[in-house]
Amino acid sequence: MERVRIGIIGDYDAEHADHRATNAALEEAGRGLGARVDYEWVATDSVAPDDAVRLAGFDGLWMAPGGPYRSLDGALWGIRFARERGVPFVGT
Amino acid sequence: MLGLLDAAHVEYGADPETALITPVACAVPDDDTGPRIKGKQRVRLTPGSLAGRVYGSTEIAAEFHCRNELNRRFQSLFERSDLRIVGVGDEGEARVVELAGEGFFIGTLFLPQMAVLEGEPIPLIDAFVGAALMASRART
Repeated sequence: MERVRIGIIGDYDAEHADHRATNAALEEAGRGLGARVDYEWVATDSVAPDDAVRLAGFDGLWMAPGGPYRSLDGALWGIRFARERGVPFVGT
Repeated sequence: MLGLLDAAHVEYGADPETALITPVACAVPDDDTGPRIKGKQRVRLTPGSLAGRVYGSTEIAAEFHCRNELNRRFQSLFERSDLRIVGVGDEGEARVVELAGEGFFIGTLFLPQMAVLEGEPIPLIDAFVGAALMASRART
């Protein structure tokens, strides 16, 4: 089965229904495409601005809901990284 | 992208009058924590936009749960930008933006993923993962 790696930039909280739904939506999309979606939450304060390495391994980046983020700079850098490198991106 | 060097957000302490991201204007005041948009709202999508093609429709009902939105005084800046407003609410408020060009880059004020809890399809996320899958193939 094909694999696709998705980085979810955001501060995961299992109490947030929208965060749980984010994971479920990715799993559902994978089923529809016949692919395995390996997703990983990337906490905003684990992304240092200008860090090109942390986000480099993902085929797509999803900016998760849940502001204020622990690090607005980390969140903005993630969005910029996707834009400048042409990484498929969705922010919800 | 918009030529703003001092873009600010009210959640991080900015003045709501001058911030790029500001409290929602048309909102249901449902508690004492301030205005918010909650529940399903109609969003009109620009025909031919990526978002419009992904949804295959010019009108969708989307699940919102948010307190802030784009300050309307900045909306005209997007007309001269590669970041385009391609989805609007009933008052013309920005609800979806996307980057012009061949890539896949879409931002929404609503929460498309919530549809999964009702077992409904989520065209935007299916298309996003599909685009990531294509990127993955291009990589190897």
